Amino acid sequence: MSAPVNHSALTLKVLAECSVTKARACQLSLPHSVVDTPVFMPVGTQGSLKGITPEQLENSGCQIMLGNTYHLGSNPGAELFDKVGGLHKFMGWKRNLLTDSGGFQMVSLVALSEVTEEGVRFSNPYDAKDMLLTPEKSIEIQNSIGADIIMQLDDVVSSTISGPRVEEAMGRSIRWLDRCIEAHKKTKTQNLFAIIQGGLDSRLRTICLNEMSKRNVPGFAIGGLSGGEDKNDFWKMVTLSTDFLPKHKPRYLMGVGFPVDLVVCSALGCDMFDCVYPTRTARFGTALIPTGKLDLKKKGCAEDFRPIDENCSCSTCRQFTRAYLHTIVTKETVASILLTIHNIQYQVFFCRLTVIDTCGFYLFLGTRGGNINIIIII
Amino acid sequence: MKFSLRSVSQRGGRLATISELGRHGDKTVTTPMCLVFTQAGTIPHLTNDMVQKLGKHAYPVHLPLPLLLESHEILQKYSNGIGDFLALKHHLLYLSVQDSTIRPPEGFNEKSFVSLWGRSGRLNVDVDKFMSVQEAFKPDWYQALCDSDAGKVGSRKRAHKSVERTLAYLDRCLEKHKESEVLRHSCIFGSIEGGSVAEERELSAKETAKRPVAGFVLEGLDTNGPLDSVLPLCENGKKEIIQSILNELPDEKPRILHGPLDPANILAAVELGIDIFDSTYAFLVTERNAALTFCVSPDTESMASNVGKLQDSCNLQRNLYETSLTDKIFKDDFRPLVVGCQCYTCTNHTRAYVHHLVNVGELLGKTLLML
Repeated sequence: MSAPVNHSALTLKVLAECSVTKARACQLSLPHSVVDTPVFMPVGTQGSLKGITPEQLENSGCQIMLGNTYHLGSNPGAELFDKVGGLHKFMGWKRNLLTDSGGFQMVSLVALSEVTEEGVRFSNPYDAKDMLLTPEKSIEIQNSIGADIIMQLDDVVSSTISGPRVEEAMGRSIRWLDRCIEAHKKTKTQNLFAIIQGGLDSRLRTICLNEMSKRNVPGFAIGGLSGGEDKNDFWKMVTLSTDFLPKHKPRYLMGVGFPVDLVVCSALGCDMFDCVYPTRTARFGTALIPTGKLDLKKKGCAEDFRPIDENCSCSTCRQFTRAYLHTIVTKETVASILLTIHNIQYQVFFCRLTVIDTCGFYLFLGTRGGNINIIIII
Repeated sequence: MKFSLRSVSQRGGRLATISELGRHGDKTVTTPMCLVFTQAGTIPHLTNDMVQKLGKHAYPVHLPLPLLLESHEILQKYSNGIGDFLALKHHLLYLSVQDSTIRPPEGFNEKSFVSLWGRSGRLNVDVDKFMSVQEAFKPDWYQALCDSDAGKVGSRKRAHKSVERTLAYLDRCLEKHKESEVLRHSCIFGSIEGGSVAEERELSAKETAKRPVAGFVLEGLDTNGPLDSVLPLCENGKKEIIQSILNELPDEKPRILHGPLDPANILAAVELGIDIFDSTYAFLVTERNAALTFCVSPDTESMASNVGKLQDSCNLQRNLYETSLTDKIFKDDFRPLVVGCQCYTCTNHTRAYVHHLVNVGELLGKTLLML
């Protein structure tokens, strides 16, 4: 076990390491509370998790959640966060927050955005004004929001793109990381993570890893993946990154994902994950269960008087049957809330249990994850 | 069920306690009382743990039948009753015939059945089906099947039909209720019909009062429907109609009036002698992103003068009772929705946060307002 490493706003203590895979169980101490890793972080885009109160979220076991800088920077805006003292106070959430840089949303949501060395230029859909998001501006907004972990502004390209643009983006991300580090004002209370880019090219990834790990940041994210690329390429880039990244700092794999991905990427040495999948699929009437997915809209659920998951201790499974949920799913807002509560608790505990199981991770694959048959050739 | 009057005012308003609530043991409720409105078995936007934050106010729950009708067969198979199915079995459950936020179309009731509108459209419900539903659902209280369609204002013929049919349904419901083992602990309420025709109203009240019902529901007074369509009680002689009905009803049984009634109407109805209401008003205000912010002073003197003022001005603007949280003025207002309010929302959140949530269309906004 490694000795805990102290960075002013973050401490990572590795509690256990799997002897077969690269999986590890850690305790990540952040300004607001401790987080057990591997951790799944649900996404509360606009300062709320789709109908869940902070109290319900705490009860579901969540220790850290995401907010999106692009949305929050527009509504309610950085100025309001300065007035109120940050997003924690604004929404009444006592545990940890992580904000992304705003870059990804801008590129994916805004039709006409243009990336230059200066930053990302776009036309704000809320008020049609021309805006420029620079590394400095992104950090400024994130400083106002006040999350425990903040992300550098990176030059994101789709993982399905190849050619010189990938190298350009990788190089620019390194330069933007330096600008972000320079601009960051609250190092004692907020942890700035670097984001490794380089697409699906191992040479580019390695250059990026090399360069970024020279910077003294408290943690690293693996970015530019989970965008529809072939899974075989995906795993390779993940494992390449975790091979290289320092063991005593947390690894955050952005945008992942489905339960299978959580298991595999934990095995590959990742500690933190985020994805809209569990919350989004809840709103469409799908619950996550050990054998995969349960579509509560299906007729088969109409007379099924079992809970979603008999082994789940969430408030939804303790009170309600599949039959009841079938009557309200996609029709009443409460259905969406009930399924979201279940899916978050399920995913958070699933992630934690992948490693904390005392038998070790490899045995976990044989017992709880037994229906997953994956052979990874790296 | 036992309804015990504690005091009666000069004008007819009453304070009472209801005890002997069947399966609920020693629990009691006091009236005037507000039932918590549900849609398809859920309190809109609130999961049960949030509902518990209302404390004892969450105890009596109003289940309108239309959206639950499709679950009839499932509940028959489930066999533990609707309280268990909805995880609300510790609540007092009252099943009404119609949904009071909706004004059902006229002209769809026949002699042998009443039309209810579920999610997939119109369903014809006769007494047999109705009582089969009650046996599957096993509510604590239920309103007997009734025909509340009194036709056009002043139409004597249709009003008379509504009275006749409702009494016939009531008698058959009572027969089946008596024979039913399962409904042994449930209480049945009779409905007073008759539209706007005074003689029909009197007839309905007199006749219903003769039946062994636990209480009365005053129907067809045009208090149902979305907020904009509910007229104040002091218009169109409604107050007089209510008075004439209540004159024929026994004092020692509770009276229910459904519908989204604003504070002036509630106070007017209480003064006349109505005991039980539903929370559809609060629901409809939430749906338009507003918070209820009116103040009723606990001080009895100013309370009396408040009541006087409210009753005198039946043309009150909506905005005297509520505040729209979409107003930009709240963007950086970090006070609770109502200063001094002890509800979960006001003790944990600010106007600024709720404003942000409704502004960006987040569901939590509605949850916090509903509470």
